[in-house]
Amino acid sequence: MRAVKKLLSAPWFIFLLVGGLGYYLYPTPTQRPLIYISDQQLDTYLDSYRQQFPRQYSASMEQRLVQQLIAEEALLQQAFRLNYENLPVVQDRLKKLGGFLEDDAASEMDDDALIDRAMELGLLQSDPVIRRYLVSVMERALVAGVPLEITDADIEAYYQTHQEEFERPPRLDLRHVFFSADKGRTAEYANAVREELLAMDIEAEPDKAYNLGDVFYSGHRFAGKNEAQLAAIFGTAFASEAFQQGDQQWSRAVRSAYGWHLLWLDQRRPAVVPEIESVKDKIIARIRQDKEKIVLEQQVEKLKDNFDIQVDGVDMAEGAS
Amino acid sequence: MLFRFMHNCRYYVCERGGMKLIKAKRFWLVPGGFVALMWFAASAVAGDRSEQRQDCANFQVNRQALFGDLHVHSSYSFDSYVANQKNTPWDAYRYAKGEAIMLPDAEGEQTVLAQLRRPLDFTAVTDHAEFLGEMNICTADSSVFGYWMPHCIMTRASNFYIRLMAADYWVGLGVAGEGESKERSYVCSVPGRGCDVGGAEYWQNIQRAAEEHYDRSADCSFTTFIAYEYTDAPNYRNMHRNVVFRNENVTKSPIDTYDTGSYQFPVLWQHLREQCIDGQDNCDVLAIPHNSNLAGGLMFRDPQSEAELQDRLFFEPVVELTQHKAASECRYDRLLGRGVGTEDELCTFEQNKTDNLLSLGVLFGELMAEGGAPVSIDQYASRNMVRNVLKDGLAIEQANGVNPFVMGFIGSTDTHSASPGGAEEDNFTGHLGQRDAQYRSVQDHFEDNPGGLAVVWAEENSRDAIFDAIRRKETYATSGTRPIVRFFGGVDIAANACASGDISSQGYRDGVPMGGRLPAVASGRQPRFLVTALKDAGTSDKPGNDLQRVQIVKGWVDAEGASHEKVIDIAGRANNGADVDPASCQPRGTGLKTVCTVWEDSQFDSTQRSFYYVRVLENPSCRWSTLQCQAAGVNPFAAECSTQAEKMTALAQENGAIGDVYGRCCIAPEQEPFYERVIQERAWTSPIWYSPE
Repeated sequence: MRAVKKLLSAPWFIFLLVGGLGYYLYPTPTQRPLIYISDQQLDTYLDSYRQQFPRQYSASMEQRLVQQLIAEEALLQQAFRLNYENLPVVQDRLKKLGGFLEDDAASEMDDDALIDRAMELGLLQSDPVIRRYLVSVMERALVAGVPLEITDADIEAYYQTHQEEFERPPRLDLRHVFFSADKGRTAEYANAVREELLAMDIEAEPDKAYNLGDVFYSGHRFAGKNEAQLAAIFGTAFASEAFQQGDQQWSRAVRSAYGWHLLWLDQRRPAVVPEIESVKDKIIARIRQDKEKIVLEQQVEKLKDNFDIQVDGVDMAEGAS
Repeated sequence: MLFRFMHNCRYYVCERGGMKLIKAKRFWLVPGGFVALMWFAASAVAGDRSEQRQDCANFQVNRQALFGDLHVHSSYSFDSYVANQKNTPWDAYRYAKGEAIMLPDAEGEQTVLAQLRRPLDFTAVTDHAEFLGEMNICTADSSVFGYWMPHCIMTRASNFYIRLMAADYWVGLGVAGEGESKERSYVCSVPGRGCDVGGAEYWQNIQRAAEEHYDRSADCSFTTFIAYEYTDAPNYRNMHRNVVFRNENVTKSPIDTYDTGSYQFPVLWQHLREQCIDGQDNCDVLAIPHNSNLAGGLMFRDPQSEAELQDRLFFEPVVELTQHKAASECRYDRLLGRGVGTEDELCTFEQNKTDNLLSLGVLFGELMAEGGAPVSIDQYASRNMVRNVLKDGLAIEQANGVNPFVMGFIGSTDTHSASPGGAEEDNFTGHLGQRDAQYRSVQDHFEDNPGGLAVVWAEENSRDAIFDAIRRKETYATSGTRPIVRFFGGVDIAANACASGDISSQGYRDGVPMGGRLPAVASGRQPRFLVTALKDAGTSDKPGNDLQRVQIVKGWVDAEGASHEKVIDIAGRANNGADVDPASCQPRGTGLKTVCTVWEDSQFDSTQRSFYYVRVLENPSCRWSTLQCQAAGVNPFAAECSTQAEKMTALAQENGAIGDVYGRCCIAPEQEPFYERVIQERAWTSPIWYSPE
């Protein structure tokens, strides 16, 4: 027991204990990688966008572009950490860049030397082709690393919330008696004929009914026409009115580009939402696209958390997101 | 219920995978006593289904007029992309279905909203086969090396003039060259993605876009075709063809001039025969020549062999008679008072002054290429105009026994702005991206126009029905409006056919429809021609214009082999008093809303070969350029037009324009061979042919 007390009061022991606790409680910060974006790099990036889309450029757009540049840098650095620069496409590009000067030295260099030369010139980091390629490869890798599950429930939910996008419009089966404007027919004339039609059986004597009016050269009967298809024949105003008529009864005179018409709607076929099976492939493609976008955004945000970020002229405490 | 009955009886139907696969087996159960009914069925029924799809709810046994565009370019075409036009095949189909897309303005920014008033029924995106791969490399993916090659960078440049230089490069490389073999761009040999891989990706995309927008449901609301443009123009003389496939069975890659060499369109047909017609089950394809007006006389040569003759007849059932780069029906110079093989004064309609594609090379209002200068009537090749080609066909038939030029008509736009059907004069947003956006249209593309539409008489809106209609030439062309025109010919057509309640049934029963051939006529008898026309119904905000008159155009060849033509007014009249208000361009006066007439050829000679087609003329309306000039504050009708033009040009120049912008607005038509401030929109039906044998 005395030995323990002695030990506890020994200066060297206290030193070790305090030191140990301190080490435990306040671990030495590890060196986090840095994303540093210089004034010049940022200006070049923003200028490029500004030149391409001057009217879309704004302060909020600038903020988004800063974040986009940071994300690209994070993806690029991650690609380097995973040694993606060894991919054949990058090596080919470096080889080409190394030989670009086509001086005497280049002509004598082998492939490795040309690649080394390009690396020494910093082209691995600065060449826009390599940068874009590595960023896109890294993006694909991040998305591929997260299994995307599309369940029947997902498909059903999407189908339920987007039904109107798949809906097929209502259609009419329609007959009409035509009164030609070229012959001076009027709405009053047509409505007077309607009185005769009311006493007739259209099913039994369709031709007799049509003959009370003038010949319509595209026919007197149309089946399965939606509003756009009717509009293509009679005009948009007529098509719109046709859909407002009652079923199995003679309308009053309806105007078209050609004159007046009395309409008889044989059948009104309501709008149809197709069965889920017939649009399933389209739904899966849309869900996959949406999910991949979300996954990529999440993965990039996670990736950025691994870096210290410094952008010249931007207060990252305020500007970062 | 007749047509429903016919519909149900039409095919042997079997179920497969939830869709109906309809096989080639006619279902002849019509009672034997109804001979006429059987004939009617046989003539009116669509061909057999070659694809899996649902039956159409709106099937009509007597066929319906469907409006479409079979000549459309998206950003996959090099000359569309260099014009800063970024809409893809998917966007083009969206536009055709009535959705809005964005187009570049005169400065190249995507700020112009473009939308059709009325959707189309069918569309084929026909991007240039040449450079599909190069455009994929240059524009699709910045991670491929080729993307960063100089001419790719130029193609994508934000600077308009650099992009025009890129356009020169591409045209010179693979379109306008005259060699048997054409030079591939160095872009194709850069390590990474090759042009074959890039081209395959875009060809797949073109097919995907067509599939995704094709309505295979019973609604049959919209039909797409997988297609491309074969782009041979040696020394800028246009011999282009749009290649359109019947269904999803297509060649592995588009056949282009790299496969055939220049001046070799018959080789295109040979490849199509080998790789599609003979090379694959259930593959069918046709080619549609266009812009013979800019072909320097090369589009329709005499067949050089029996194979060429047969291939032309098989692969090219129709010709594109009108489009953005002018009409090709006929040509009449009003200053000289004569035309190219015609005295028809209505042939001034939408003519381009030159005869080759260099006419497109106008910048800042100045023609940049000497070769695009006007060509006089005397130097203008007769066969640049289709009416002359049809007449020559009759003469060749008389001499050799076979007519090589039996072609029906369609119109289309040839838009390079992914805007199919954008043929409305008062809603014209240009067809060349930035190159003819806003003021540039009047400044640089004054001779161009919004183009036309293709109309087919088909039982339903499906690929098979439309393709069959084109094959049998039951089609017509319009200059952009949508009149509904029918045309039948036959000796048995009744003089009082218009009194019948069912004119189309009568037409099919007693005659042949447009695109058909009359059987031999006994001496002493004369064929009658039944024509019906309904004016364009229009929309609530833009009613269609009334019809002014209907004409028959007859061509024939006499015993000595000399060809003749005659244009006959068969309904309406030229001087009906209709015109436009010069201040507002609003149409004034009335015309015909519907027409039905039977015309008998009293001068018919049953020993002479002939053709007849119908031309329907609307009442006068303002040309697109007149409308755009007026909208800019320059009225082409005003005495002070030049002063207005100077003022508005100065204003445009302050905003960045270069050169004379609005001077052309004030061109005096009476001093020009073709130009008109006021046009007559029109429709041209496919001909009906007659030969004594």
